Amino acid sequence: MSKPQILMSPPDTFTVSYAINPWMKEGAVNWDLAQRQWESLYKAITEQAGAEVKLMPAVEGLPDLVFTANAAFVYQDTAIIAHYKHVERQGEEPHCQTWFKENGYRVVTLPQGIYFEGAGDALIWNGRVFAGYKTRTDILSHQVITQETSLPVLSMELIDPRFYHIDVCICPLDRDYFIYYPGAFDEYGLRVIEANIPQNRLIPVTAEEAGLFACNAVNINDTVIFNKGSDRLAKVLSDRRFKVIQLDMSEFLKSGGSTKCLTLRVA
Amino acid sequence: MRQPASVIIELSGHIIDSLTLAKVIDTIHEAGCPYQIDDLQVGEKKHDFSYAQISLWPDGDPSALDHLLAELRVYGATPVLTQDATLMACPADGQLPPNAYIRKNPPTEIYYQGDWMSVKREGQDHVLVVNTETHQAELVPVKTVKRGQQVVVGTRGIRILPTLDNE
Repeated sequence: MSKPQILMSPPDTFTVSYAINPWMKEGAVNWDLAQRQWESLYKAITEQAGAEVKLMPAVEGLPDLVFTANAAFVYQDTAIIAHYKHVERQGEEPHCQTWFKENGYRVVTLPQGIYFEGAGDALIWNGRVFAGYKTRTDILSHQVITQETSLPVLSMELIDPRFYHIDVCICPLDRDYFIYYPGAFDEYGLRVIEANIPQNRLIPVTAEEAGLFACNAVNINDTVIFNKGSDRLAKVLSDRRFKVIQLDMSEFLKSGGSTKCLTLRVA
Repeated sequence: MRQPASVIIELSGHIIDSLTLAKVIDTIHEAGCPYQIDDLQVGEKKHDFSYAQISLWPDGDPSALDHLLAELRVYGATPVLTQDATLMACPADGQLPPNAYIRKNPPTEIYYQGDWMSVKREGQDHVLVVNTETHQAELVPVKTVKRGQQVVVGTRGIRILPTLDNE
């Protein structure tokens, strides 16, 4: 069986030079430490989780290109390219489009004015897409997901600006488990989660764990990789036969992202 | 019969499983705006979209309506764009242009040159004839149309008025 493929982009130009979410504070990043933390994630994915990493080159002036999760929503050979809400990130779009074209994907772009932030706001669980909207992504983009992939989409309003993408408040796992932070959703969203996912597969996290980006986890087969500090969650996952790797991602948290934001499953 | 709605909105997608339609209805209700669901089509398969069209009767405060429409837009509900009905001349007495709109029973209005026109008379399987000079529309049996009369074709610019039992 071929290895899972993960798209990453080296943090050569990573910094915080603007603030487009509540976590970002300009100039706060220790660049050398960020390089080491990104390398540790790369190694965990390739050496411990057994995946192959594809690299998209860094680009000067695009510090958030490192967060490849937002580049596109990928399903089979289709890549729906992000159309970022903030002008600061819109410069990433042509680079992402080029990468997917050159790598043989069927590239789909959004109509002008319809914002969509890739797998940051659209995650597949058991044949359906849990997709966030309001903070960054326009709910109308969810129709494009279904039109292009035939996957049903469950649209979830994100109500807390700190959890601005759905991949910082849910994480679908192998064997149909589902990590989520209930505080990121309204009563409708919670009802949707409870109606679609069996109770014994739901793994809620606390506000403190969510604030440490516990939901922003990378899951490759039975390995789950997330930022350090959520020992309770690590035990819950270990009890369910997951291999947990906790890494220090402090410099990327200063930009509002962690392990999942730095990766995109492309095959 | 109720007055024509001043705003008609529509939304589609997985609006039932996502509870988006429920959210839209609750939002309209909480804003105190009278409404009616004119059309609800439920997708049959998992990947099929559902569709809802809802008429609103806001109380006349434009800023409150703007606020409500902005809120509904977040949930993907957008005003239905109103366009003029398409008219074509009858080629001969008793003959219709292609794709003429054949009216069934419910009351109807036509949008033409910026206004909704009510339709005189009712009748099943009639066509809509528009007098473009007097801005009047009426339902006419197919066999009685005259050569050169302007008949509505297609469904653009046509709306069916709701009839409410309690009004």
